[in-house]
Amino acid sequence: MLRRVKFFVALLVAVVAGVAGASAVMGSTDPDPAGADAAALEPDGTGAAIVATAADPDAARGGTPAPRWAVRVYRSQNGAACPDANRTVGGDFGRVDGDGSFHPLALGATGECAELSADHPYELVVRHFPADDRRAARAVVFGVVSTAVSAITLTVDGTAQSVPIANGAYLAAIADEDAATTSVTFALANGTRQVQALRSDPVVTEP
Amino acid sequence: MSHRTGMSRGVLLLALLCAVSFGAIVRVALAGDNYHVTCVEHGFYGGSDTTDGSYFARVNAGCSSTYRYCGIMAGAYEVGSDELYTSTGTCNSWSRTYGDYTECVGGANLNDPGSFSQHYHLFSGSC
Repeated sequence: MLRRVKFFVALLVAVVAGVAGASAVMGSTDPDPAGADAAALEPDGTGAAIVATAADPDAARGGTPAPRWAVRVYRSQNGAACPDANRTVGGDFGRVDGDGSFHPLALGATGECAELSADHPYELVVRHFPADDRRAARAVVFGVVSTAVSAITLTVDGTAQSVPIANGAYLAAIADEDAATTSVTFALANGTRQVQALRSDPVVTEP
Repeated sequence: MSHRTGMSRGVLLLALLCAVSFGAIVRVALAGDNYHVTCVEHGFYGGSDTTDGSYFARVNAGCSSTYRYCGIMAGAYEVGSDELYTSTGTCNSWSRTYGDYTECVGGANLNDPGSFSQHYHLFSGSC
């Protein structure tokens, strides 16, 4: 009888230890799982900062004032720069829902983490926000750049505008319907330029 | 002289290893993660809580891809997406960027022309 009790106690301890061990090996996955390469996405613990903001296209046209768009940047555990774009209200970073309510977003493994180098001096991300009851769809163009990038120009339907670089990041918001006629030009310190035209249908396999 | 307990250290070690494997399986199953590697790792990542409405669509860098797409699905609808036009960086779209959605019906719409064709990865856990 005593042996059976010992056996079940030992088994229980083994299972608890096993699950705990598995959790330790797999790392924390709640609420922001980083997958197999956690160090590439998880924040390094030094926090994040909103480094650039941009007006919504409606504001530029004299429409109803809307919270500004913002890019928040943190460092991942392996040292990559991780920009994340959304809105800012009162210095907080978050999301604005269709009813106009603001929802701060906690820092997690949420950035588009990139390791910049001489061969890869910039990152270009386009985030698509669908339309809702109050607002038209938006495309937010953002990313991080190294010091090898001296200027960024956004050309929308033939009209060019300069996009400021702030603390190694940039951000611009356009109407989503304009994305198909938009290109981004990166002027490099070595005098060359690289132009990237945005896709008209992002999901289509072939451009 | 050691006292015999009725179970060898080998059996205990084996039980511990089995338990670790079981624990790992449980955690992945509860997370609802659904990812695989086709040249680069990509998929749906849900985490350990299937009720927190926090999940990701991701495509890692690699295989010389210069364009990647990761969209967040909520039921039959795509509620937001990211495009990455550079070979560096992880395409990483988060559900809470766009709203509060039910993770159980969540999914990822993914495309990486350099590595794989457009396809979906859906939540695969139990709710």
